[in-house]
Amino acid sequence: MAKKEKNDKKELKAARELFNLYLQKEKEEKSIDLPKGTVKIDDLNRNETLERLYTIVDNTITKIYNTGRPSIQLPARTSSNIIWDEENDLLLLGEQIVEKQFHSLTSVADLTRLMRVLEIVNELLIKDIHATKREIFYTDVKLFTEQKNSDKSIEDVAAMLYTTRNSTHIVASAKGMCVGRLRIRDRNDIIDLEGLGSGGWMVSPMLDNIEIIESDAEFILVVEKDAAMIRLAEDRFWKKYPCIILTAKGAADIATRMFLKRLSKELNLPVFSLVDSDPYGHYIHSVYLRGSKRLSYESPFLATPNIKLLGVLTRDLDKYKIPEEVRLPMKPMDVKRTKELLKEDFVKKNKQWELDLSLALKLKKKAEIQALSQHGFEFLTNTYLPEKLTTGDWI
Amino acid sequence: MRKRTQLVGFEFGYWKHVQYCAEFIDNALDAIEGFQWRELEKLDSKIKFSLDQELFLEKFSIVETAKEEKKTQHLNNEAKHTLMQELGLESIESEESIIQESKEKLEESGEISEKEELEVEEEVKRIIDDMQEIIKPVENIIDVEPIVIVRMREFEAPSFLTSEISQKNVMSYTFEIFDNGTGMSKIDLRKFGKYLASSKSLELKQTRGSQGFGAPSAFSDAQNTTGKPVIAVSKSMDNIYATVTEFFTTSKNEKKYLIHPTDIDSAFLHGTYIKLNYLNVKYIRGYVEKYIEETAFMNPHITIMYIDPYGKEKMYRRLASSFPRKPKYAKSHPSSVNIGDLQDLITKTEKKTISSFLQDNFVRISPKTAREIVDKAENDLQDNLKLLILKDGFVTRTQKHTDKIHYFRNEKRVYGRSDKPRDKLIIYEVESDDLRKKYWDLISKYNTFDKDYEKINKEIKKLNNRIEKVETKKEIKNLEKRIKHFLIDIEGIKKEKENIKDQLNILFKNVKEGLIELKKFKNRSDFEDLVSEVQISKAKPSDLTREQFNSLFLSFKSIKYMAPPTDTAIPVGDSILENTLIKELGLRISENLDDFDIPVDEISQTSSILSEEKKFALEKEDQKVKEEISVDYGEIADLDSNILANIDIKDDSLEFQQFKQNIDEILIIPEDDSIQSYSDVFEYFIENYTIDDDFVAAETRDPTSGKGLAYVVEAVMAYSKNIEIPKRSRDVLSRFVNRTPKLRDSADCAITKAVQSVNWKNYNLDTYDNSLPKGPIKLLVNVSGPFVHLMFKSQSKNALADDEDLIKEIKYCLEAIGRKLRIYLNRRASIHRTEKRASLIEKYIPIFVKSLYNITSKGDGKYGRKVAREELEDLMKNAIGRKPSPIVEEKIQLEKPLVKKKEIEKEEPKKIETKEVEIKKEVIPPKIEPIVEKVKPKKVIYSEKTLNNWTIKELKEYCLENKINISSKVRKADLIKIIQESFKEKPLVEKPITEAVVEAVKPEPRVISKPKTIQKTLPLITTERILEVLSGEWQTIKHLIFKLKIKDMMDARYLQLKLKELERKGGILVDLKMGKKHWKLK
Repeated sequence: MAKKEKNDKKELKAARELFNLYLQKEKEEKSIDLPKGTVKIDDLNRNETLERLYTIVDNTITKIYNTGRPSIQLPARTSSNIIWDEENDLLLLGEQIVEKQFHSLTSVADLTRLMRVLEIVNELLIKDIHATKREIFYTDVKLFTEQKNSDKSIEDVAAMLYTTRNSTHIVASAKGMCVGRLRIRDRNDIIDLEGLGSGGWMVSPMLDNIEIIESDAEFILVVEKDAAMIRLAEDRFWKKYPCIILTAKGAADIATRMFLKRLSKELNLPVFSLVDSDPYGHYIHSVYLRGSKRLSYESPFLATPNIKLLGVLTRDLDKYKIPEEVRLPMKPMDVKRTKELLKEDFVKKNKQWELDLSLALKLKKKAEIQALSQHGFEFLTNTYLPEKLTTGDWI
Repeated sequence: MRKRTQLVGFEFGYWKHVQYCAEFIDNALDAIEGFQWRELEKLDSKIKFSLDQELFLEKFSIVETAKEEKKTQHLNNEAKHTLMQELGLESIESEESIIQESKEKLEESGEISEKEELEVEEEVKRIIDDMQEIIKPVENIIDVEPIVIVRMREFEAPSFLTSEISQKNVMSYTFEIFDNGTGMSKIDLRKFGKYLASSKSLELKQTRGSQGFGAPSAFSDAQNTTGKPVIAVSKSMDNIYATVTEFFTTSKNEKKYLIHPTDIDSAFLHGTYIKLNYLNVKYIRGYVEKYIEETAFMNPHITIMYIDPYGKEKMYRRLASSFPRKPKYAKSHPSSVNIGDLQDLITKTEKKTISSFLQDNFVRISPKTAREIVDKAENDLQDNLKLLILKDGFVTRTQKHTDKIHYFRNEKRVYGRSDKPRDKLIIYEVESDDLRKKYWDLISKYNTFDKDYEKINKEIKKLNNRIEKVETKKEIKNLEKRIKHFLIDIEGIKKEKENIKDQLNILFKNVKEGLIELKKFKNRSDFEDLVSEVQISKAKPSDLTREQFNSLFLSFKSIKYMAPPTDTAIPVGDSILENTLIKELGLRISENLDDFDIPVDEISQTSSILSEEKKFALEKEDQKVKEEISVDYGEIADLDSNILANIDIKDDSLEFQQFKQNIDEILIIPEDDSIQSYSDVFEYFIENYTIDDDFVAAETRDPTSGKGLAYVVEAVMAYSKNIEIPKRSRDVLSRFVNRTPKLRDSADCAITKAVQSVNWKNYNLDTYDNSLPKGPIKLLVNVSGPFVHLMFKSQSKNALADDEDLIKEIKYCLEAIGRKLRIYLNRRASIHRTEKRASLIEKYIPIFVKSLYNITSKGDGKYGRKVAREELEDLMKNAIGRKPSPIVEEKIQLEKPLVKKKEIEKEEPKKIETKEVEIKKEVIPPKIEPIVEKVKPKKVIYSEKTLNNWTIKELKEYCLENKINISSKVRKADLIKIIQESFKEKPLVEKPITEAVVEAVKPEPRVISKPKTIQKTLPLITTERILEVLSGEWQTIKHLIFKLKIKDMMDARYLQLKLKELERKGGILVDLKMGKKHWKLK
């Protein structure tokens, strides 16, 4: 304990260097040039979205008048149509288009659901309100039968309109939480994320109402788990080291990712992620990094390409002498996932990451963030994080 | 007196009604056919049935017409009667009593009944009235249409008749039948009713009955049960008057007349009318009806009318427009003849020699074979009778060394009363030891040959037995070889025997010493008999001895004959059978029934047509690249045909999705477009070939001759929702022999067994427990041939005997039908899937439209509130099951110029509305009506029917295209007339295919004469144009297709080829991105 108090505050040299680097670059807005063969997705305002919506509906009606056989074209969201943009490290949607025919047994239900969602979106947009995916499912349970059907249609609608899902006013119930040196405005309320006690601010799904006012943080820390978040909040980590801490409590939802994206974009801060040392943790990191496959079309609005994987790395297990008893053996499923990750282009490009995953595959061991608690509950906040941030031990 | 044996049993029961019908209808049909065949042989017969006209009997009713007739006639008759009674000319006694009375008279006076002339006249009148009742209504067609009318009437049977009968519910029935067949002359009529008097039994021909037992048996049954006479009216072509008789048949196979053959005027040119009465249990519907119905199925060339005892009429109009061929007169084939037949024939023959008898009575016996038979028989006889025939004499054959040897020869001697030398058989006994020794040397050799011969025969038998057990072909071949060797040995033995005989002849011929003439020999006559017996070649057929006959039969049977000729068996014909079933059962069969087998061919034809078209286009537009491209073109053609050949449309057990996948796999072209268009082609085809039709298929096998019988097997099967699934297995199958239905003993029949032997489950048919097929089907099997009576199990002629070849033949026939049925059933299953799909899709329409409507009505889109929900819903509903895809349509129209689709006009929503209302009545109008005519690419002239199916708009378009002048306001009918006239004016519309193709590919607006062309202009794919659309940016072929406005898969393919060519020449840059080729300008 005494030891820890001595080295009470680390310099976080490496992190600060990165921060400074970003500061210098300042507002060097990187306008993403989409590579050829990919579809451009726009973040639209209400009226623009409505306009696109009506165009599609008009076309459909015209088709009915002409042939009686309506059909709707939308970009294919199959894996073959998802393209990894090397330059920007993003997953993007290709140009393949599927035409869904109403008079086909395979797509008639799809198309009807799609139209129903379109109807709801129309209503939402006109009234300028938001609805969650769950709400949409409950508007017509009979038609959708399962939420995954309505979710799929919701995504299809966004893709069909070539816009983000947020533009359709359909939000996912956000489970993300944020604390730290940040002040934001939610419509008329100003929220100081530093003064929320040990809790935090729940990320609002309606991010278009949120405005970032100011922050003196030097970095953003994305934590995979709530438990680690509580640890950090309790220790008032941001007091010691000026930062913003964000968690999605597991897999990252859209709102959280989008919030992170905005934070990183507007504040121009380095972003670090702290995840479990297992393939799932790495996957979560990758989702922050370049978007999920499912929502590939929204990647430019969701991904934070400059996020760094701070820990827990496989190599940290030995380095920080994590005892053998808390290292869990990898299950076959984990091995499979790891191998799959290794096949991904963005992993291959990052040699260190590849190395770390290979190491995990070699050791066949995984560990959670909580494994660090073996060295004391404060090890994470007092030693592990500051040390890593100081030495720049990230991927 | 009237008690007569019935050669064909008639017993009380439901079947008796059928029996009556069967006997007389068969005769009637034979008579009609006989008439027609005879008339057809005449070069300019004016009275033959013409059969060209279609016969309509929809609202025709004999009963109704007869009633009306009666109304007018009744009064007259009444008046007559009363008048006559008043005058005392007519007795008031009932008909019954007259007959009773007359019978009594008959018994007394024997042969001739002596009725008072007036009474006879009355009776004749009554007969004519009765006959007129059923003939009058058909009077106007009676001499032009082959027609059979059967009427049965029921009466309460008089109690004195029924009191002795143990059966209950016995009624009296009057059976009348009229046919306009050949009719009988007075002489023939005299024979009519006697046993074995049938004119049909003289020749062996494919006829229904042939023995002449049926009708006489029926007559005697009729007499025996009711005591009423039989009435016959007949008129043949050659007589001016018809002849009417009323008679009893007697136990002496003679007739007793109540009315002697009397001339009367007749309403018909030729024909026969028979009326008789019989007692039987109460008539129940279902037996006779079935018999008549089935008869009509197999005899669609004759109109059959039937009036049942309760006045219900059944009309089976003539459906075929041609008569069956006349079966040839057929002699029996030796291998089908049994010993009894031969005996029978031999005793009857008037021929002088055996050889001529054989040639005359059997088929496939030439003079040579006849001689062979006789020789063989003679050799056999020589061995049996122990008397050898030498060239100049005869010698006995001895077994022991010590036996006496006799030698006979004919020598010219003077004997008896004549003083001229005549041939006389002289008998010698061999005395000299030298001769005896020489004789014995030879004869012992001869005897050993006999033993050898027997041995060899045994060996052959053994080998034959082994062949049956052995399985491999090699061994069978080996054994057969060995048998052949033995047969050669036998031939050798025969020759050796002849040799010895020759030597014996030489030995005895000129020898005078050592022979003692036995002058007064006791057994002289025995020897004389022996000599004449052994010479079968000289024997008269009619007086053969038992030994001779046995030998003859043995050799007759041991010789191999050629198979009998097959032209004696006349089938009904598969197309006639199919058509009959279609018409009788009211099946729904679209015209592409014919396409059931050959869809694949037709598609490949398409591609070849298209290929030719393309080729032409290339040659026209770019002479330089002609060679290269035509080479490349072959590739396309190959590709196409490969694709098409690999897809088995016939077996469409595949789901469409799978189907699509298949195509995807086969297709090498990477473009999604082409895949799409191909799959659309197939979708179209599947839909068109699987229209929800009923099924009917007939198969007529080639005539076969198994075991000396020539016969034809044919079968027809119908499958329709309208046919009820029979509850009893025996109702599925209808058996026929020589077009005659066989209703009884079905389980015993070879036909039933053959049907059971087919594995119906293979053809997607359920079966009953006895493995007869089960389902909404009707199966008819007919076996025809001149010797079919030999194939029956028993004299009742109800069941065919088992015969391996026959069963096999029927099985093959049914399997051929089964294969077609399987295709059909598979298609139907896929149609059901489509229907299911339709209903599912329909379910979603209102929801979809509601959403659509809600959006558009709230927003400010193009349509806004102008949209009517119902209208949209209807439009979408009507689109269910219709094939869209203009790309495909283009192609299909090319190959089938007559294709016409119900398309909704695009720019006129108002017009649609009215149209929609009409169609709306049918809830699901999914299928395209089978307006797809047979593929006749050369024919551009449309039938009136086709034109009628077009809308006015289409017709007008067509007129415009073909430059036919029309005024703006014409009616549809007039329009069609104008168009049809234009066909007459311009017979040249019928263009050879190449021309049409050239025209089709011309870059100008299309002028192909069809009502609709979707793609009015064909994009011109030239190098310049391609270069024009290529830019500095990378573009996929899709971009180019879009920019060039290509809508046809073939054009797209051509573009691809062009691009390759440009690549090779280095005119453009190419790069592979994401597995797709991208092009840009250099």
